[in-house]
Amino acid sequence: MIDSLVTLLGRFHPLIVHLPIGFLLLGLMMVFYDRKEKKHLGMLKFAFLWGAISTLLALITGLVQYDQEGYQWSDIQWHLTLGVVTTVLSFAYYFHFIDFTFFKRIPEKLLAFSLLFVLILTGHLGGNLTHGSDHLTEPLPQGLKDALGMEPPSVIFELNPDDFRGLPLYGGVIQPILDLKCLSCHNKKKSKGELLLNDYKGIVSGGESGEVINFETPRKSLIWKYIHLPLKDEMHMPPKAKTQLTKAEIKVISRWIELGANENEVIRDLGLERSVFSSFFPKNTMGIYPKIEIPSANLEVVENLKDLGINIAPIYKTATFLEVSCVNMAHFEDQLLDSLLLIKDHIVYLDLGKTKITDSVFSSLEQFQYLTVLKLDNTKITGKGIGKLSGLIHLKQINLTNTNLDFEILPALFSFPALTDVFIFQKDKVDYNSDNIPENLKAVFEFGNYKVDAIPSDKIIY
Amino acid sequence: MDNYKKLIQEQLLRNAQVNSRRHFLKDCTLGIGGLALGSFLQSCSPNSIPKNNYSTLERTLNPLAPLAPPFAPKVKSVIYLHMVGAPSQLEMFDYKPELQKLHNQKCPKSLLEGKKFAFIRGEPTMLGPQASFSQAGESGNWISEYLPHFKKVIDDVAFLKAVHTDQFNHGPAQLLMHTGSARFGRPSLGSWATYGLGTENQNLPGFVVLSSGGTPDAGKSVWGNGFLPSVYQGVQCRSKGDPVLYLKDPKGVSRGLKKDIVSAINSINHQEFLKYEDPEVLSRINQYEMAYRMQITVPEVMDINSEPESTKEMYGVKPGEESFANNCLLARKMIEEGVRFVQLYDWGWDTHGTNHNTSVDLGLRNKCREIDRPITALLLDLKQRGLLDETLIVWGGEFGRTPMQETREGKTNKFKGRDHHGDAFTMWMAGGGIKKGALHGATDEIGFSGVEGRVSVHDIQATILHLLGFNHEQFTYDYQGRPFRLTDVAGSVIQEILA
Repeated sequence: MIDSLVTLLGRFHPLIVHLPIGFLLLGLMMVFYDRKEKKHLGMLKFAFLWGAISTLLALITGLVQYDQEGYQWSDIQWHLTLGVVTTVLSFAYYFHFIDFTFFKRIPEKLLAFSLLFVLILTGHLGGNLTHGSDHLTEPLPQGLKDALGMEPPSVIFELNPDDFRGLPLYGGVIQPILDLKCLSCHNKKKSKGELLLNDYKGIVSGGESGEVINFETPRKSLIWKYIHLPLKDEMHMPPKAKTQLTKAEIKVISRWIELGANENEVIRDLGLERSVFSSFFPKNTMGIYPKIEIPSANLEVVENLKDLGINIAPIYKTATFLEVSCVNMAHFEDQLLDSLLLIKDHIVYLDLGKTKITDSVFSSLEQFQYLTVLKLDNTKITGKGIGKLSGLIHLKQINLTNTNLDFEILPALFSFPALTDVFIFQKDKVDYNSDNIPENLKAVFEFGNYKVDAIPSDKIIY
Repeated sequence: MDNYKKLIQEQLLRNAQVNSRRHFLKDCTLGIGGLALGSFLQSCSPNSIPKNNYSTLERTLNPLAPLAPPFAPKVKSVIYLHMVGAPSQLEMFDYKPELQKLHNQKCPKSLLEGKKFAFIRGEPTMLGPQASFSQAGESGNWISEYLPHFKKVIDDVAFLKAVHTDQFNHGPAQLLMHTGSARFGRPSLGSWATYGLGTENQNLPGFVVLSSGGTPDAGKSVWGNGFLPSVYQGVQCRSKGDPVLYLKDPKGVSRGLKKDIVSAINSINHQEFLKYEDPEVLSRINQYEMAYRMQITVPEVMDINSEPESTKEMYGVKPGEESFANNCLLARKMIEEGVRFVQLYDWGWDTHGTNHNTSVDLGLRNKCREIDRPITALLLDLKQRGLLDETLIVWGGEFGRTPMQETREGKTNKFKGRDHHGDAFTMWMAGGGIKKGALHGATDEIGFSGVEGRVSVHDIQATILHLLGFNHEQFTYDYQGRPFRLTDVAGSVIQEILA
């Protein structure tokens, strides 16, 4: 009984906080009005007495609410601390008026301004707690937000590919999706169709059309039905004008409903395949290239190299790693590679195919520390000295097709740390022995030499 | 003195006359019209054309200069194999044993209600699959006996079994498939790709079209540039005769003379540039030089005789003829040379059953034989050259075919044939970024409609652009006052077949 009364007291905090704000603000305004003549000291004393008392009341109810309602310390720490400061300052100001010697010594301007500042800030932080921290900035035009350097709110839901199986399907996946795509209409303030989708209870209780989850025949659930309707159907959810669910989101919500729409079951126990979740994993923007950030290459150097006829482009528009191709430079010779050394740390993809390069390029190439893909196809390369590249820890692909490749050099590649593909198909050489390649590297070497032999049916004309 | 005053008076009067409201309304209206016209005309001047992200100075000088896409791409180039006329999925990839059981039975009316067909009228009968099927590869995907070689590469491709389109006539359906709209006027896939990415090899076109058997019903618009600059349209190369029409020097004009002509024109153009500093002039100079370079390079690349015997044997090419096999080999050569987009059209897949060649049990076998070995060879050849990982191969037609025997004008066709059908058909993709051996989508028991994993034409286009490094919703071109995209207002990337 007492407990519930205490909780009730806490609930009055949002009401009571408005009193000190009003009282103290009015008091401060009166101080300003009366600053010259000092005729209304009695009124000021009255205002600040009740201001201080209401501040204390607000502080007590606030502490009760913090104690009873499960707020996180990290969320309210500043609001609470400043609330205490406000209380102290308001009493200090009152004591200042009634001529306590100690408080009389504090300059009045300092008291007034610090009280004003602390009061407004505490109120603002409190407002953030109830209305959300983007309450004031949200209605601003996007252009202004950009100018202020504010990120647009994240509308992407992501899962960690390593430990997502430990999450409950509902709490870890379904509700976050609903939060992003459904909650703007189905929340406590604006429950379209009288349906709440902010928590499990709301989902299970349904809306004005009755239950939205049908536990007997999951596929007859209204949610299941509405998200599968074609976009042009009037009943399709989310409505046409709103952000739509992605295919993967529709799939995972459907699977959850089909599996019984349980609140607490963990993904691991439900036996759902990884592919259901794979589109929620963070996108790997770098692909096969090193996940390292480096400053961009010198633009002038790049332009000069381009003028020589070398194709240079970033691996994608905003990337700093470069892709370099000499496809338009059949006359490209070993010395020209030295000019590329100027941007050696930026090149991750280097195509020297169909050029006049020789084996001496390897001593330059070993300096390209982030090189990932190297194409030397259709050249006079024999592979002598290729072992020098073994220090390139990012080198994944080497193309040596249609060269003068000496197969004796292949063992030099066995110790390369990151190789995934080595293409060594030679159109006019067919007899080589792949036995000396270690078993675990067999898949790395692509000998090619595929045949599509004629079969009798090729000759039958119907 | 009076006279002098009179004179002044008269001058004031004259002045006042040309300052009057009457004079303004009567005599100056044309002038106002002119003023207004001036501001209207301004919108026609080239300077007012909205600048797209892709118009940089480098681009102005060389519209095909290679560019980086906005996102990390999975592939650098695309080979699109289009079977003109719409191949029958029910004899090639979509195995429907239930349909066999219903063979020759009347088609239930419920199936026909509200549906329109290109030719079927009245009550058709069901037509069971004319091919036998088996599972192949580690993926165990089904494949018809019509494609015996293809089994070799079946684990490299990802099937889309429930593609659908809303067009059931060839022309509009082909336009939709390649330009995103069933009406004329939009740029084709290859044009979008070369517009967004340029091309690596500056001695070859960025977008090459090779056709065998005939021109698609929709005409050259399927590789047209639409509203994009015309430099991005597909260049049709022929495997028989001159590779590119009108590229050969005319009789009596030697290479040397041609070079002199080009350099003379270019030097005049260069003077023009020095005078007016219009970058368009530099662009024109570049075009002349590129055309000159192509005259040498294109015939070299188009010559399949230079390939070793083993390769020719692998594809089953017929040098000197126009064949799909030749085109497949050429496609590989183009990709190897750094061409961005190679589009192959093979004509003759419209199997209505009106004669021997268009029957699904006879003529279709011949067509399948013509593509089976070359496609298999193409995939293997790209793989052994290390190109499969950076190339996307797309195979398909403009729509599918009905599970019913075609009854043209109410009468059953003489041969076994199927009508146009857009509700469900099969396409496949292979190469970089594609999940090997994947299967997405399924049709109902008779292959009439997709029941699971239905994907639209725009979904396919969105996926192709995605693999090239574009978000199809952001890759736009301003034209007639609004941004246009390939996928119009639809399409989403088919994540299920992506690796």
